[in-house]
Amino acid sequence: MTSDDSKEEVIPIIEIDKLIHEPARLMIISLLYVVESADFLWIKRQTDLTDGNLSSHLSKLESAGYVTIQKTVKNKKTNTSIKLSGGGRKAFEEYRKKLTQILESTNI
Amino acid sequence: MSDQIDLKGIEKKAWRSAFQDGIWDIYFGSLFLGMAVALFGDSFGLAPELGSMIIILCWNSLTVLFLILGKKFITTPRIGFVKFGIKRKKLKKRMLGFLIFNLILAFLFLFVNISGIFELFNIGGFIEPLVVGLLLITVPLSILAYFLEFHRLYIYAILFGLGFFNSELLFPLVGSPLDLFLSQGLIGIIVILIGSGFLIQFLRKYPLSKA
Repeated sequence: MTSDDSKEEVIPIIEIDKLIHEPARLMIISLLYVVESADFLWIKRQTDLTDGNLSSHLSKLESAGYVTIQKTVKNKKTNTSIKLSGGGRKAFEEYRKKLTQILESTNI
Repeated sequence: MSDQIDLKGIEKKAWRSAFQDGIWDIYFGSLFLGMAVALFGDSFGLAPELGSMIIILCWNSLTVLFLILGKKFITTPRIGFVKFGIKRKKLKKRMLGFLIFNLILAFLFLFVNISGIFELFNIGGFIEPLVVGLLLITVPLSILAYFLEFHRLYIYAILFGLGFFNSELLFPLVGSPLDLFLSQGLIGIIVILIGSGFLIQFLRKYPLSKA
């Protein structure tokens, strides 16, 4: 195996989106990918993450432009609606494609 | 290795989580129990048919109200709110269309039954209630169970569908209207109890969120 060959095998792994690759964020994005929108509590229940953990992951995803977070106040209660953005959808599809490529090339 | 992340599985699991609260079970059980209660339509000094219609209307309205309020005040504050994608919306539309079709079919059947056509063909005994129950209750409810992906509803559909048939079996033993009341009411109560079990389990698993 030449160094060029190994480089070719490693490049897709390096290119993988680390923001999505983190297990908790991958769970959040996967859920948001299959629904139109969801509130904070629904994602929390589905992922079993703590409030702080989920909040922190959502902030990171929002900063990257992968999700849009909309806060509304209804009956003195704050409702947080979360939606996967167009960019987030595209990034997730790209992530899946790359992950599949990597796993196929390593015969897993 | 077509799909490393099982998105279909995730979506299905998320969708089915809507039925873990037992509220749908209680709703269907109550609808069926309402049919049994309606047999006492003459208890209010009204004509039996009118009394039964009023009972069914009031009972069903309360049942629908329970479903809506239960989802709003019991389920959503505990497991949150989600809007599903286009695929589910299309399914909902198809389901609505099917329910309207089924309602028309039920009215048609009622009309045919009143017209006395069944007597012309000499259909009666145990076959009529079995066919009526399976065609008008089991089949539509099974299709609804398929659309909703609510698997317990398949069992309820069979139980509900056999209600009229069971009443025919009970008739020689207890007479009318106790035969219908026992066959339909008992099944309704059993389904409500199953739903209540799921509801208690749900309330324990998901306490109210303080946030």
